[in-house]
Amino acid sequence: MGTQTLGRGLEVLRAFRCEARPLGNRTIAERTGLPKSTVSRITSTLVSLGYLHRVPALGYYQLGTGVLGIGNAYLETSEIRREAISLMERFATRNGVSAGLAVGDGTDIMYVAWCRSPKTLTLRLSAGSRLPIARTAVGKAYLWALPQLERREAIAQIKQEEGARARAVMDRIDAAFEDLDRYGYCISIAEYQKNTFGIGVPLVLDDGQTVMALSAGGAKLDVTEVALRRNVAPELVQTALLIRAAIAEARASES
Amino acid sequence: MSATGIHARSAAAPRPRDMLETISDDFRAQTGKDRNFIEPLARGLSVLQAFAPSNAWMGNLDVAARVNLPTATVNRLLKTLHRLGYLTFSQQRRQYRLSASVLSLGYVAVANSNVRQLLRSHMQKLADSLNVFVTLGQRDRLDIVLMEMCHSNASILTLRLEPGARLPIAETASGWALMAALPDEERDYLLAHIEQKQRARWPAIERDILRAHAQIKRVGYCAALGSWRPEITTVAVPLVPADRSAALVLGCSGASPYLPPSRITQEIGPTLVALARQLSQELPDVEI
Repeated sequence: MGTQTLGRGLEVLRAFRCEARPLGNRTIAERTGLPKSTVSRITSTLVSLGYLHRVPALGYYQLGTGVLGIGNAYLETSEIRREAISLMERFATRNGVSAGLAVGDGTDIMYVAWCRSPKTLTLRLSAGSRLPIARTAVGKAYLWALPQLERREAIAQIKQEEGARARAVMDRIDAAFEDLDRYGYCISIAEYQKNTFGIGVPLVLDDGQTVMALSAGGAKLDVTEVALRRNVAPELVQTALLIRAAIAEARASES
Repeated sequence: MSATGIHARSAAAPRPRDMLETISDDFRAQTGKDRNFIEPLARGLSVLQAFAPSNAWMGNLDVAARVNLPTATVNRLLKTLHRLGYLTFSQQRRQYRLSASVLSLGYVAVANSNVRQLLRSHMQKLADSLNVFVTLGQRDRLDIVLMEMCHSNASILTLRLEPGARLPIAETASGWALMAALPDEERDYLLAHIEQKQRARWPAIERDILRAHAQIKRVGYCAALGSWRPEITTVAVPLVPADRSAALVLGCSGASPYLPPSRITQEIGPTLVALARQLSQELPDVEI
């Protein structure tokens, strides 16, 4: 019984997603699919542990700082992140785009590192931000790089989530896979959000055991797809190779 | 100022796992029954907290030593957390580490909330105009957790602290100021805890706390002249949102020679108090 309880408790923290908005037990129950009585036991436990705060006037809950410590501990110890960041920054500055390093989390792709573009108009994302796998270039690059079995499972899950739109979403995924097969990157323009573009490149490490993806993104006011394909995308592919080499070297010197 | 020294101090501050047991025990003692307290959840979270930045990889025994639980229990928790995707396991090392999925446990929401964006802009202005290091903290059991920090753009000196760093609530100006903002009952409960944990050092700690609270009553802020680190002076003020949700604390720190008592009473203290008053009115509008 214990293990299931732990998983459910953590689901309640996940239910807050990327929003800072306080949530009531009912909303949490809707988002997690757990019975309300279970949710209220979990929230009261999380309050006494300091992971949630209760907003007295509303009876709602707000995330406490406990989660900040765990998140930072991950960010500070990830050597993949450490090796990748300086290379990503150089890429972002040279191309005037934002650069991200992401990994799959359910049907979402989650950024573990984010380098803002030097331009004023930039995407508001950060480490920990999540976007749908199926609707972003970085998500599709990740999906493409997954081992066959895992990829099939992920696609099944995406189809189920997209429902009636599954067909259109799958068409775009197939087109992206063709680009990935041929050029090593894929591009999506105004797909997840109007006026934005994204480029995704897979990053496979540790002999295939770690699958991640790199992204370049920005506002689509000042670039053409031709320019992205000619300059930015190939350089992102190159950056992925450099990151892989840097990590392989760090791993070798470690052992 | 010795940046590494400060960093070492924050790392040595009590971590939540030390508190977890006592506090949850007390919680149950208080409520009389543990009907609502979910032990496996508390234990699972304490295992995740045990993975501090200083020890990325940990085996069963390392974790068990840190969380004070039987190895069999820890082993089961580690396996569950691994299966749920929050930990990575290395066959070679026979050890675990945190995986990226821990970021999905609300990390971004806390790291990027609107409150923090509003506060960050005010804090940066304050850091630049007073040429000090400004911190924003919140209570987590017996610690102040720093959520946000800004250093003056005019200065290359900075404190080596990252968001998430912990300061002992009983021995820092930020801690004293935050305690002053708590409801009486909660503060008494907290003080009783600190007394129990500190014993020998309690009389000195209590004297500092009482002095700080008297100062807050008198002028709205409290100052610690080198009590945290001899070379650092900190001025702190409680920040309570108008809807009385969780109290926060704003702090200004700098090298002691730059923050003499005259500057604190004439400039830094009053500026901080005025900002806290203004922010406490603005905060609830931003969040909800």
